[in-house]
Amino acid sequence: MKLWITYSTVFVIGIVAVLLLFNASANPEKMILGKWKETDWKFEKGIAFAADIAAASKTKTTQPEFSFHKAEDWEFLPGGLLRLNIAGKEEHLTWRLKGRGHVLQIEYGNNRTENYQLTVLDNNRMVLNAESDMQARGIAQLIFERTKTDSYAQKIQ
Amino acid sequence: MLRKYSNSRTLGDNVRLGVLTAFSAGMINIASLLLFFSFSSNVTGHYAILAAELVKGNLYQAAVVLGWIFLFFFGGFVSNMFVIHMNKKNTYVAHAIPLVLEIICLVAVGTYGQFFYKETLAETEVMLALMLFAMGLQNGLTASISNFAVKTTHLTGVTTDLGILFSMFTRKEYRKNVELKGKAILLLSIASAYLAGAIVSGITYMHMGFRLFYVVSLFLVVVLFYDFYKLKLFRFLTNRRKKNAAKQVQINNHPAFPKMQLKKEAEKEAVVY
Repeated sequence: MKLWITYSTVFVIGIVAVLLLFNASANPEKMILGKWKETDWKFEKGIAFAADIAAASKTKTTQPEFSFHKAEDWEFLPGGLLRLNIAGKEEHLTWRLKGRGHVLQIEYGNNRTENYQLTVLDNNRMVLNAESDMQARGIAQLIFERTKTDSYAQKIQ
Repeated sequence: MLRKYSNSRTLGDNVRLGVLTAFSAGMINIASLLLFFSFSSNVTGHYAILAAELVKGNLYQAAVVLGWIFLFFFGGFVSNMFVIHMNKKNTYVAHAIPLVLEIICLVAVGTYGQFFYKETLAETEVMLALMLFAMGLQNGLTASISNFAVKTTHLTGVTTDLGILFSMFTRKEYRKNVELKGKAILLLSIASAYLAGAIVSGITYMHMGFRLFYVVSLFLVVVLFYDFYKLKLFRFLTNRRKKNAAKQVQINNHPAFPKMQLKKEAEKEAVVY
C-alpha cells in the first residue's frame, strides 16, 4: 500500500510539473498570430553566397525554392490562414505548426509546401530557418519583427 | 515469440520477435518524422532537445518534450507491470496485453489522422505522445521478456554492441563462440529490419499517409497470433496424438485383436507371393 502511494505521488508530481510548465508558457500557435514584417534574410554560408543568391533571384536565372524573399509582410490569422503582402499584392496561403511547435509549414494551393524551422518566437521577434536547395546549399535565415499595430496575441492573452 | 520468457527463449524466438518489432518501429519512426517532424521511437534526441529548449527558455516546447519522454517511460513501466504480475497466471496473455495496447494506440493514430486530423499543434502533440507511449510499450515488452537481449525501437545500443562484437571477432576463440555469433546474428537482424521498415515507410508514406499505421498494426497482429496459432496447433497435435494412442490401446485390448493381426499378416504374405 505504501509503495503504491509513493509511485502515485511521483507520477502525480511529474504530471503536475508538466502541466505547470504548459501553464507558465505561451502556446506558439497563439504567439505567432498577428502581423510580422520581414526585416532581414541571410544565408549562413557567408555573404558571398548570399550575394550570389540575391543576384540570381533578382535576375530570375534560378527558380527560388522558397518564397520568403518575395513577401514583405506576413499576417498569421487564426484557423491556419496566412496573408502575404508581396509588392502591394495579397496572397493567401495556409500555415500550420508541426512537431513541438518548432516547424512552420506553409502550403500553397498547388500542393507546394515549404517547411521552416521556427528558431525564435517571442513577442517582438521571429526567426525562421530554411534549408535551401538553391545554388548555395546553406541555411537561409529569415528575420521578422512584429508589427506594432497588431493585437491578436494580446487579445488572446 | 511471446510464449517463452527470459532464459527459456531460443535465438530463433528472439530473432523472430526482434525482426518483426524492429521493422514496425522503423516504419513508425519514419512515419512520425515525415508526418509530424519529430521522432517517436527513440528518446535520446528528445533529452537533448529538452535541455536545449530549457536553455532557450522555451517552456512550452520543454513541457511537450518532457511529456513525451514521460510517456515513453510510462509505456515501458506498464509493459513490464503486465509481464511480472501476470506471467505466472498466463504467460501468453501477460506478454500479449502490451502488444494489444500498442496496436490500439497505433490504430487510434491512424484512424484519427485519416478522418479527423485538422493539423493543429495540439493534435500533433497528442498523436506523437500516443506513438511514444506505444513505442515505450513495445520496447519494454521485448526487453523484458528477452532478458534485455531484444530492444527494437532504437539502434544506439545495438550499434554499440555490434561494434564490440565485431572487434571481438578479430580473435579466433570469440569467432568460434556460438553464443556470441548468435548475438551478432540477432543484432544484425534487428538493425536490418529497422532500416528496412524505415525505407518501406519512407517509400509508401506518400501513397498511404496515415493508413501506414494499419500496416504496422498488421505486423504486430502477426507477432500476436503467431504464438496463438502455434499454441492451437500444438494443442491440436497433442490431442490427436492422445486420441490415436487411446484408439491403439482400445484395439490392443479387443478380444479379437490377435486373430485380426494374424489375418492382416496372412494377407500381406499373400500379396508378396
